[in-house]
Amino acid sequence: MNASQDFPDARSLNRRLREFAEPGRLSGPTVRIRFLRNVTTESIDPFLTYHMGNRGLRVTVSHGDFDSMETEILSGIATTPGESQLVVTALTLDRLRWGNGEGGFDGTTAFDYLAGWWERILETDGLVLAVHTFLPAWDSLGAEDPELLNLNGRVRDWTSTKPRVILTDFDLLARNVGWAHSRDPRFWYLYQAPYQEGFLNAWAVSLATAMGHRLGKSKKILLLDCDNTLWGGVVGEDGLEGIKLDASAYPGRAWFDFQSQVCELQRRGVLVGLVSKNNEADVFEVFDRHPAMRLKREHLASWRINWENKADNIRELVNELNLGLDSVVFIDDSPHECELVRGFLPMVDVLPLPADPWEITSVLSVYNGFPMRQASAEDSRRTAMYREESERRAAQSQFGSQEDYLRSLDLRVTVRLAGPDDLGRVAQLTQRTNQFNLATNRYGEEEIARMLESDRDLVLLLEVADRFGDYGKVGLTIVSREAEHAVLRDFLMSCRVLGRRVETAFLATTLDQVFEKWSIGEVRAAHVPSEKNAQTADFYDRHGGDRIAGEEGGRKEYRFVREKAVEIAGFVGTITLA
Amino acid sequence: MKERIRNVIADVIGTSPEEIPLDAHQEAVGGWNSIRHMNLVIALEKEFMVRFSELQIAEMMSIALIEDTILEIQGR
Repeated sequence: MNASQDFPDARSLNRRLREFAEPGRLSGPTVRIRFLRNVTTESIDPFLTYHMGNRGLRVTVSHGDFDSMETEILSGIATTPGESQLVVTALTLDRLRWGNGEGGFDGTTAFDYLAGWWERILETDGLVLAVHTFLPAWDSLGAEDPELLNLNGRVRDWTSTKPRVILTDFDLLARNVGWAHSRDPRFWYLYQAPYQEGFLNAWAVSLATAMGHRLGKSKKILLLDCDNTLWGGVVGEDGLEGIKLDASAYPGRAWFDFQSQVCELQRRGVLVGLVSKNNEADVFEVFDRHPAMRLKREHLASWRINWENKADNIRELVNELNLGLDSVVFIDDSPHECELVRGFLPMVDVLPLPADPWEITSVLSVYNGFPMRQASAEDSRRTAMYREESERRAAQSQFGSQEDYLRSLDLRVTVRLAGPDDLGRVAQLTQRTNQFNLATNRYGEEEIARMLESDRDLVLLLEVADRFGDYGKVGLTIVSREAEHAVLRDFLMSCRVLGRRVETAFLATTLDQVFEKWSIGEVRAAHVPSEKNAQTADFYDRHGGDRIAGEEGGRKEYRFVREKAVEIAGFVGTITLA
Repeated sequence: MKERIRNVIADVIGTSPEEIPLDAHQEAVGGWNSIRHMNLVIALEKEFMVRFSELQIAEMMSIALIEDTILEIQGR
């Protein structure tokens, strides 16, 4: 796909922006964005509003005075704490006053200057900083200037070590968008506005994608049609030998490559499922017997292969896996099916597959709603875990009572102190967990690292296993010590392990640890309502917490005392390693 | 042609065409600021398949002036 042909312009955006203004249309938090800049950046506003809105996020955008990054940082205007606070530095080398002395432009000096200010911005808790690599100045000799490459290399290295920093790689962006669509010298010389709409659009996509992931708005599951999506042709008519799918020869190669993309997403932790109008046996014959199928049965979290309405099938499948509809991406070659799903389920990202085989891999190569990061051990096991969940449900039906069933699971719960190796997973849990999350605080790795080092904070990880398999690290509690009592700031668990009394065991163990370790008689905790955590509203009430304060904005405060222990069900084997 | 130009302006600044008099000057139209003017230039270039020079961009501050400029380019 030619990216330059495919961006919305400011004119066509206005209609969409009015839709976002309708009440209830955007469910997410408001992202407050402040540009610290030495050029005109206001033209990015509609693009930011649009792309953030596509991820359920509201925005307020403001732009600082020209050339005042330094004074704004020093006076604290730009630095309000909070995870939904985004500070964007937007600078062109033309108007920077440093690193441009008698000896010419010097990338190292320029980087040291910038990194110093960036570090100061990061001193404010929680806020997210967006920086960029640099395009050549208008008065320079171009993109291959070794000092420019030096500067950009340093910027990339620096950002790769900073969890609260978003890097927009201008260099890469300009190449993708095309130079002709990136900068406009007319607007630069007239209005100090260097960037064109195509470039501003791509920049906004990069910021919105990164903020979407940070604020838990990533997509989690990819649902696929089969005929003319996973292979060419219709298996029910063309038969196993007749469909187009081939590891080397076009056009079958195109579907093979598309499947490779799907497999790579699956390896990185995205769930994959099928929603297709076929005979189930036909589809699985292809899965089991076609030599060029890259996607395997074991990659699938679930499927609905029948002749029912696809919107209903998607709803059902997502329910079964305990996910939200807004975490779904759906791909189908049929414009009719795409339209239907869009109509019934507007929160689903629907990606129509182009009709020409050579074009189909472009869909996943430009889509950016999935989290783009390296796979963790949990990611690669995620599909297996969801599959095991389906087997557990099958087993459940053979037992008389819920208790019999739970007893048969042979549940083993381990609660242990989080260590440096767990940083990534701990941060990921705080960012991804929505439904069973009592306070829904999101943390970056840096903040977690600070807690691990502090003797006033206790970070406990929950690991769960049963006879069907290992769930991995699926729960987290964070407790802070105050003078007279302790505060259970965070209690969260992955939905995969709910309904097995594990949550009770985890709470009991956490409280025991705190009473024990700090010789403290009282632990306070709060339930803070969010869009998605309604199921936890009475969790502390049901576990012996005493209410101590009135509701304030829906927030409820509780007290747990040492004398009133929380009871752990007999069938949950609990080990504590703290 | 004036009406076509007015429709583009209305889209870009997010208002309805009836709100903009055909003889309006930039200063009299709420929302037609210098930022929106850049969006407007891009939108007009797409709509009329033309490319303006930097001097034309700076001068075309009314529907009439925009029309003159486009006709001048097209007539060349």
